[in-house]
Amino acid sequence: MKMVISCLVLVSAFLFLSRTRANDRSGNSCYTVETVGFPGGVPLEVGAMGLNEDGELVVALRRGNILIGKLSSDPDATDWRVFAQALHNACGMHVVSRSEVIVSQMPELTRIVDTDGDGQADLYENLYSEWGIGGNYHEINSLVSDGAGGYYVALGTASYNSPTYYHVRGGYSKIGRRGRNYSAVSWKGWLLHIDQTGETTPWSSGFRMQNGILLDRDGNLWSGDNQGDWKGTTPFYHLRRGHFKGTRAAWCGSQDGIGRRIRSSFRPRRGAL
Amino acid sequence: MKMEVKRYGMRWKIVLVFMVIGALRAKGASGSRLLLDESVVTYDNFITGTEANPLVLRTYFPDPGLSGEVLVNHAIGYRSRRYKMGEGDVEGFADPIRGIVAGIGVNFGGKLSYCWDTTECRLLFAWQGGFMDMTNDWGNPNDGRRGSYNNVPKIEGNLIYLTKGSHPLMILDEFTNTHSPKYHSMRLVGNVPEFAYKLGKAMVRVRITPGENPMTLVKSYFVTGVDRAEYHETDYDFSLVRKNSLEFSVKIEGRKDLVRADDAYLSESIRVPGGKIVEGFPSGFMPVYSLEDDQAESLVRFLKEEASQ
Repeated sequence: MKMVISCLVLVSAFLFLSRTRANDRSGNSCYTVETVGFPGGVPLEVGAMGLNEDGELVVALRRGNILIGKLSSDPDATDWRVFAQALHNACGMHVVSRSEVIVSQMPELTRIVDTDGDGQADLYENLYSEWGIGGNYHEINSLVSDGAGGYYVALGTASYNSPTYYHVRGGYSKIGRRGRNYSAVSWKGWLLHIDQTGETTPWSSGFRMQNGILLDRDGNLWSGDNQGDWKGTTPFYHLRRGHFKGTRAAWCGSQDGIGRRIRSSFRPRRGAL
Repeated sequence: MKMEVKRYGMRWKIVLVFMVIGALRAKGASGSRLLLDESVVTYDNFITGTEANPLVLRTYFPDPGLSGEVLVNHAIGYRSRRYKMGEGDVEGFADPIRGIVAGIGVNFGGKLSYCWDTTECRLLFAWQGGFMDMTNDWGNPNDGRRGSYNNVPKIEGNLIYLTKGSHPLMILDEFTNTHSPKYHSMRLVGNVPEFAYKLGKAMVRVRITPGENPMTLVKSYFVTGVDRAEYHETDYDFSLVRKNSLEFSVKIEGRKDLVRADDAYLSESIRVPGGKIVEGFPSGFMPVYSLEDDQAESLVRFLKEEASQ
């Protein structure tokens, strides 16, 4: 009898798993596919996106614009309007409201506001710009709101396949410049927490290129990282304060005063790789 | 909680939505509309604005020869050992290139373009003609190819102003260190950007617009938080019109060695070729032709047609 029950349990489990996998393959139980049209002639080089309270899609493009699309059941009837301009490769976005968006662009964390209600942003306020910028295309970043008025900003390293400039912002480290992915200027390969007062805390380090960061409903921080040097495969990280994730260049960044001071107060945890 | 669940569902939707967008674009099937397209950036690597609706672009900029005294809040990048995938450090060096990392570019059509820097909080340089060739950074529209080990856009036109010396604004307050400005914001006032930065106790707002005459530009300053601010300029003639001690405009005469090649200049150069000699060319090299007015005019028209092609 025991054998029969065990067999029944196994068969039931097999059938259940098979059914679940079949559903996962089709995706019907997980998500809905919607088709959205996009205006021709505008490069669809998406750095970040979000939804506002009206259910409109807010999209940051590499060449500087933020477009807002009013979604429609007819893809060709999707209307887009320009919300913002003049952003340098924004790859992180937090949509605050229909008139306010926070983005992390190459040189700064920026608050973008439509103050006169005409549908287009007219104020671009610098919230934070203390990280380094060396001119390398790979030094992009992403952000997530901490839910308390502050932000976590994930800063990627630079690539050997592109140069740094003769004049850079955020100090310069000759050692940090060496190798494949490098951190010649401040905070490349780090996750910074910037609270609502602007107080900055280095949260964790050793990233190559996070490619996105997420805060879940339970307050857990997650990020990806990009396969490459010091990364045998593309990981998905649960981020905790003090963790070091393996890309050593992050610790070789600029040796200017603020970098040394904050790094000296940062305590990496053992076995947190 | 319901809202959270909905948000998570929407995230997945967004990802999938854009997969579909990509497919649509590849097929060129979209008929969607762009309602306000004045400031949208397209595949055009030579995009420009107009005087009424200037184009504002945040990107990398070329360094046309700025001095260390100007870039005082920047660090110096050095050469490094070259790296090769699979081999590590190899023979040779990777040299830094000249570029500006955190500038804001503004173009008023052919009348004026400039680069304002958010690290030094000052106008770095200005030019007239076109705006920029973005191919090195954005890639060739046909094949996507970018500049080889060079992502710096190129200036289109003639440089009319290159800043020199220390920061041009002086706050008459012994506690203010004018060498450490802090960029605050950019506000579009009637489509024209106005930059705000802190300089010690002072909050400074500055707007830069084309001057009435060729080779000129106007900087309008609005300062708060201190009693008085002064302006100085190195190497360029300027006139200052002061509304009060904290609100004034500065008209800057750009490079004097530049001449606008308009119809009158071309006609004069054909008839009296020794009248103005371009630097680097010998005098008395071109013969003098005696031409009627309509003949000279025809030649000028021909030259302009050739240039436009």
